[in-house]
Amino acid sequence: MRAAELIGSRVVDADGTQVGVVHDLHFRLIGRPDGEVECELDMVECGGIAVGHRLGYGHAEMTGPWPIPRLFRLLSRRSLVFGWSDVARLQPRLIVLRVRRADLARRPVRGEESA
Amino acid sequence: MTDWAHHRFTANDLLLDRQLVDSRGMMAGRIDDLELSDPEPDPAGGGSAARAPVLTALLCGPIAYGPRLGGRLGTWWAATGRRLRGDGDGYPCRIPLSLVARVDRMQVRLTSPRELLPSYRLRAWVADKVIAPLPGSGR
Repeated sequence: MRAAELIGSRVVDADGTQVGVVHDLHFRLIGRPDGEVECELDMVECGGIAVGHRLGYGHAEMTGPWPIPRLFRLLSRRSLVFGWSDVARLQPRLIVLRVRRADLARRPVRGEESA
Repeated sequence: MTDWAHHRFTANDLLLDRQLVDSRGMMAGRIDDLELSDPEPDPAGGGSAARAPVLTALLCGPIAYGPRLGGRLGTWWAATGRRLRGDGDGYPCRIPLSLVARVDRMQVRLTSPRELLPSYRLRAWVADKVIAPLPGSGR
């Protein structure tokens, strides 16, 4: 599977309600019993507007020019995240969730994410 | 083993569109897509995946970037990449994670020189067949 198959896919919840479009993938490092480290897909981020994420304004790493970072960060606050265990099935350009949109969490901000 | 600058990160933050730098500090391409392991089926039969996919390789080149562009332009871009590749293989140039030394916000450093990477094949072909025969090319 390729990341491009997930990014840009539409997401619908268990009731068929539109959740948004995937615009970023969250990874975390996990240690295996043999000592190797794997990079596991932790959460999938979706929402209405993806252009800020494509330009690097979704999180705190881009600082200018004013007021673009502030604008994109305000827009990205509405993004929702879901874990891989919430996925009911994958179809071409469509992800169907087993949970309802109201049960999805907001995107974690950077300080909370690394805690 | 790969040295990751962050324990948690997103694809847009740390990987996609980042510069690849080879073991000698030379530019070796750009990350255009990511290869993930195929989701394993749910043992309970619920149609979902029991284990989340893991990152297995970095993909680069126009065949990888085409699907990210999307639409007709993306299809055309990927088709151009397949034509230039010449071996009929429709899968993008693949750099396994075992060749990645360090990942940080600025670049992704590899353990191999770029001449040994599949992503360097077209550039090597142009250097040998197009640039080298030109008068004054230095050969």
